[in-house]
Amino acid sequence: MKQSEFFTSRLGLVLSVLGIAVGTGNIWRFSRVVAQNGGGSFLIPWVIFLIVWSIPLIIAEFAIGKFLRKAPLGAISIMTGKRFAWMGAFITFVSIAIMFYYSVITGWCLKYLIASLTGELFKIENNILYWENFSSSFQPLIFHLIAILISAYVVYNGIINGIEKVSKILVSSLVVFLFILFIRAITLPNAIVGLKYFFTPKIEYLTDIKVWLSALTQNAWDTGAGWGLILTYATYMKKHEDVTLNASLIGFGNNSISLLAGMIIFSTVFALSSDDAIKLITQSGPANTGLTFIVLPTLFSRMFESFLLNVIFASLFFLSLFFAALTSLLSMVELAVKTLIDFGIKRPKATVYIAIIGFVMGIPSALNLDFLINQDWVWGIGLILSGAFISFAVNKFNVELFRKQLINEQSSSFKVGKWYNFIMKYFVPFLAIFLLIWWLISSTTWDKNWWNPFHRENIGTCIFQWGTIILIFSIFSKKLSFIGK
Amino acid sequence: MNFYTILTSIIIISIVWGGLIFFVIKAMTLKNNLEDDGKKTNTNNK
Repeated sequence: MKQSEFFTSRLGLVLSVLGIAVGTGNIWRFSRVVAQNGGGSFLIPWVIFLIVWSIPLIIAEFAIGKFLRKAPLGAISIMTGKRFAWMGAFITFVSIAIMFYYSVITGWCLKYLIASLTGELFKIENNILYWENFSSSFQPLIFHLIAILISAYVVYNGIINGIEKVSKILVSSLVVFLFILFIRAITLPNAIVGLKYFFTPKIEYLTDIKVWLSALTQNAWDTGAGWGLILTYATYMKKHEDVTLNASLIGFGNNSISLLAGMIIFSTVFALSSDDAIKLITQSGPANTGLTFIVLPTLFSRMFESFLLNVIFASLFFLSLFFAALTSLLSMVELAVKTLIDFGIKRPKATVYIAIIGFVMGIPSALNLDFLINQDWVWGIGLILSGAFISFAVNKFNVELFRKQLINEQSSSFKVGKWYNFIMKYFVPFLAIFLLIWWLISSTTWDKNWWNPFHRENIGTCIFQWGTIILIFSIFSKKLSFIGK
Repeated sequence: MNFYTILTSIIIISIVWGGLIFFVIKAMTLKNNLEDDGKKTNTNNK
């Protein structure tokens, strides 16, 4: 099928892809991980892995998408051959499985945005109870439905009139809102103590392998590298767009936003909290939402003496969070829709199918927090496998040829050197395997019955769910690869 | 703030935000070439 739609401008492409990369993880996960791993000590490996892990994988995704014009399922099967087509199916499945519960999370952000806009958030006496009442009610289901309907409507309208138009507005507004919050946060009394913690390196943390692995994990999850989402958007980039330039813009842009969000959170928490600030930032709470939905609403109520200003700034924060979540959700819906388009189904029909499937499959996560946490664990770790499969596809294709013909093509202004071959051939696969083993072994420390597939977060449930999916896709591997013919 | 805090903040901010600014400038300066290329190649895309 001939590609019929392209992003109209580089700005549209970059803001749309930045919308994928910037998600709730930049805002609530990044600050927590920085605090847990010694502040400034974490930032050093985090920057290193941006350059040696995230950007090379983003380059690979851009190049594959632009060259093959197919979603991950089709693209990976063309690159690896029929035998390994299941890898493309696995990458696709992981991103879609994340979509099912990410829509629920987007709904939570919308709920808190409405609660802050109406001032309801500041009338709450017990934030934990408020969260528990909300998450155990039927409300998450309604907000999940709204989130999936909004994203399906945008995707239904296509790339130019849907994703590009909406991402331009949402991502640029997000950056402006974060800057406003940043200026307020760093001018709060005592904010400097938070910034000091954020940037002070501690030697003992720098020599701890866990800090390095946490930095790699944060980059793997946070930049969207290896998810197949950037690959999907890249199928709509113009022929003369520069792969390396766009990939670098996304990598540095994403981490710049994380840095901004981190400074906002650390300044605000240290300035406004009467308790132990580090304890507040590091408390993960249910589904890692403790900081965002429990701690920050209290702190925002103390930001100004004026009630109205508190409402405005809290709303700006939750609006940023909602925009960040929504633009990432859009890309997951688009990946699913593009996969069906590759099979010859028209966009409107494909979008309706995906919206229905997305809503139905998200119901268990909307109604049961334990189910959502299990899915977040299984498919979050599965993303590391997805990254490894993309690097495998590049190697199967021939990494030198890939670099010369797909990345350093004629129109490319930035040429990538031979270092890229080493990174994709040895570094990424080695780190992916190492990281995977580390995470799985770590889970044995918090679950004695690590083999039990019905536990929430352990090796057993990962192996069981991945194994089932891989087995099914392996059986149908040859059939799945028909796109490549 | 001690010396290492200031040094780390300068290094991190320079690399991350500096990297972003560098590529944004490059994207803006290369945009003209891109538009020229686009004009030449629009017919190829159609």
